[in-house]
Amino acid sequence: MERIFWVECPACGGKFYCNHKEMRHAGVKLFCPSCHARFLPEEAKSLDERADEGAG
Amino acid sequence: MANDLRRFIDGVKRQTGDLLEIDKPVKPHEFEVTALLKQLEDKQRYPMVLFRQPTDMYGQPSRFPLLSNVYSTRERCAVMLGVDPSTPNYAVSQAFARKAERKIAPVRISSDAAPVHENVWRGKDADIGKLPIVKHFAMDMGPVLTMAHIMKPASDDFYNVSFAKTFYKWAPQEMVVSLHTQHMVRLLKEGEARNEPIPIVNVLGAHPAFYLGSLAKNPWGANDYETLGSFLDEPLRLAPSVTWGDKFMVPADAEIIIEGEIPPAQRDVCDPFGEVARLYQAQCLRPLFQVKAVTFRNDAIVQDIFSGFRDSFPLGAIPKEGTLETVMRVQFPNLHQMHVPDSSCGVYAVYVSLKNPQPEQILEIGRVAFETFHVLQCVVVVDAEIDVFDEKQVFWSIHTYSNFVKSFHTRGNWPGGRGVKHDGPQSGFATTNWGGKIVIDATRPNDFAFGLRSDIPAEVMARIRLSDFLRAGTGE
Repeated sequence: MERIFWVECPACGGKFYCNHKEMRHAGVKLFCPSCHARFLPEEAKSLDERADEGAG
Repeated sequence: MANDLRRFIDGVKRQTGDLLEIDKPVKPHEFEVTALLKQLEDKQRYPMVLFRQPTDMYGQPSRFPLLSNVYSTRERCAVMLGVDPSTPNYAVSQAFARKAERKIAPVRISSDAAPVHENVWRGKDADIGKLPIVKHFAMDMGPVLTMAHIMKPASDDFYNVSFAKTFYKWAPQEMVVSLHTQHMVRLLKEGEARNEPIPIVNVLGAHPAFYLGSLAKNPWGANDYETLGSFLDEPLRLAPSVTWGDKFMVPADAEIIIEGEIPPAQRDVCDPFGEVARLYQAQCLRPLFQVKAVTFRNDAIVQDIFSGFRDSFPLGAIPKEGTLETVMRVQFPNLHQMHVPDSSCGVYAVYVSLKNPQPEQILEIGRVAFETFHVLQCVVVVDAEIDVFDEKQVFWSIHTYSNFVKSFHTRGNWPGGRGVKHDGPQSGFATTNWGGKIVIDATRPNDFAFGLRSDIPAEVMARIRLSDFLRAGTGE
């Protein structure tokens, strides 16, 4: 299972999720599927990156 | 006449009759196609659906009809593989196994003779926005093409054909392609190591056996065009591509083809997309697909897959059943049948029935299944009298024959499991809570005195026919 993180778009409030390894700290702007806004993870209105502690 | 999509559609009309044609205009990029398919599924109706008047990405009527739900019944999959649709279960799996083992060399024809070159759009005319492209699910990044792609190495003359989705990027010649199979990722890396644009072809319509055959498990270096000939029961006709000529041959009888190039070391955002497990894939970075040409037959039909619903399950199930039939039959001569159920999205579970199962075979069957397909996470072994295509019987067997303390073998270090290093592609789908594995022994215990399943004498079942006892014409 790949680790993901949820974000809330700062422009429209739409929520979606991204691959943690590829997108969380890569300096890549995310793409909001709802309003097509581009933003960095740090600019998200909210962010949920809890990992599955029981994985292994 | 080649074994193409049109011949298949005619065959469906004759043999199963379940083609639904929608004449009213629909907007595929505004969820209208998947909304209709979902409503059919809610009614447990699974016709192949031909949308006669879809709009393109500009909201204008597209010249291309859109075909979906092609794979949503095993009866139609039987027709694809030349099997009698009245025997849609293991006969289809075995047909896949036979076809995957056979090779038929392709034949070359001229571009002038290739139906797929009846119309050619190049350069700025190659506008993919004129296609009907489906946006499937609410959180999808955008409209997406869901059919198979073709790649080949620069130095060798073999072709790899695999499913990969390609997102429209709201530009006429630009897409992003989600390559994920081991062989396509290897071809991508080899091309990027040379720092050269990598040719890639998206086949948006063909005989459905073409796509099923693309899921055969071939080793690196095998020419998938030879396997596809086997699935079509005739040599695949190839024509020089309009972009690369003889250096890249394309299926001449395809409905529509997009020729493009992947620029090395460039990535853009891709996903979310509601994939086969009916979970969205997480947004990630994938290669660009720069469109060079669009070629198509007169009256070409664009195909799409309704991912995460019945349309996508046989595409996972039948290739696994066929491949496991080939792998396991040699090692387990008492193997009866196998089925990868819809409840596991055609991906995650396999039910295996054995004649006279031996206790030491149960875990070994699990190991071989997981080794063959790392994505599998559940193997249930039952007796041969249990119909693995009837999930109620399989679960009856679990609830009555299994000892929940002794019969469930769960661990993460099965082949492909969480406890094993495997960071390559196809190790699991996206966000599924995947990685733990289980083998369930649901065979009748025979190492101690155990109960017997109730049944009616076979002689009486053969002698007494229900139809002889019903009132004529009443159905009662």
